[in-house]
Amino acid sequence: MHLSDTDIGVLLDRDGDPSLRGVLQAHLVTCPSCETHFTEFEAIERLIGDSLRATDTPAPRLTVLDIRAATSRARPAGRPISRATRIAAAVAILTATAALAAAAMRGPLAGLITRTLHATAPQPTQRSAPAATQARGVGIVADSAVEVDFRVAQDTGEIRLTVGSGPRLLIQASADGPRYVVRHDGVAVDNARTDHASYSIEIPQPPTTVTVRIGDRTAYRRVGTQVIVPMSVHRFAPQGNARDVP
Amino acid sequence: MHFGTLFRYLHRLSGDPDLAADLAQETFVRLYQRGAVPDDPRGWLGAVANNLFRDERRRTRRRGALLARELGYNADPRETADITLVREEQRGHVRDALSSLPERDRQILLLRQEGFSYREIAVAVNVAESGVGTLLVRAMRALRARLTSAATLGSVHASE
Repeated sequence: MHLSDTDIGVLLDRDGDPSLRGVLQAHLVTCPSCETHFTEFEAIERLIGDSLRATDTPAPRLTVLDIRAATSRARPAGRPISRATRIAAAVAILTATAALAAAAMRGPLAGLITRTLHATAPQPTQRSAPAATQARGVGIVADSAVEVDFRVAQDTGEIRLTVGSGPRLLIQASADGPRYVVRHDGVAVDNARTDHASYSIEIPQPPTTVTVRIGDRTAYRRVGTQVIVPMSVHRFAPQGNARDVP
Repeated sequence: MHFGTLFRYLHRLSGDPDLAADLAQETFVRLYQRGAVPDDPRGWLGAVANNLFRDERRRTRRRGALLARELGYNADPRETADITLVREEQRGHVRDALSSLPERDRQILLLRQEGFSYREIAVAVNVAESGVGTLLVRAMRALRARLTSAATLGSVHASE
């Protein structure tokens, strides 16, 4: 009588019933075939762990680009709040709640969230290969935001925006403006007051991960030189729900 | 569960670090919005993360078989170049085999690697706790079969 899959599953269960595991382990001592069989499963587990660890990457920060700008955006009464804004607000509240809870409450949820936040040290992605310049058109309407996340500080990064048929706006990564916020790790453009603006986004050779989000949609994403999501044309409804333009 | 643990699990599951970061963040936002600690927090987070990943893949038709894509190899400096090469080849075979498994098998193996208990795995993948051990063993057996098959094919190609 040899061990079944269920028996091996019990043996692999670190939190399983000790008495039952003891019985099965006693069988392993007397049955070389089962012992070999079980050892193979242990080896497979180690092999999986070793293989996966080799390509693990550090976790990013738990943050949303320009939470302050998103949460402080003025909106007319009755206008629905976009999903991106709700997430930004939730994470902002999450951060504040965790800090307060850790100091005062020590409750289980506070502890869980606090551990989460503290476990996510900033880990910028490092890429050295140059990337080709991408410049495509994106059509959006009011109540959307364009966010370009460089992930690491950019000395030469810039975004060119053409609003309708008006003058070209050039946003340097070191300047601030009244309708957009530029930070060391990205640019957030508040499009709430611009109807049917056409943005031409040009990103000259950022050497790292680049993500362009419009509302809650990823319009463009590149990791190093590899384009994961090519830039495409989208049209966004005022409610923030996106759909592709055919 | 740390955010880093959930991110690592989702990264291993999807092969896409950006998607993993987005989904892990969304998972924790939903935990906050829930307003109360679930009975089984790790299992609950795993289940939400799995659902979000499934929805995302369905919506965007992302391919899940991206585990083999290299995102930077963390070589052990103590290994010689030859050993490193052989080990990395072996690791690549394992990742290929993992990515070819059915989604539930892959989830179970990856959650197990993150230290999830059988109870937590059961909640995360929506199966009976009593069946997790058997499913885990069968997933490992399926992985082993794929590794054996790949090794056999490799030896055939090498002899040609």
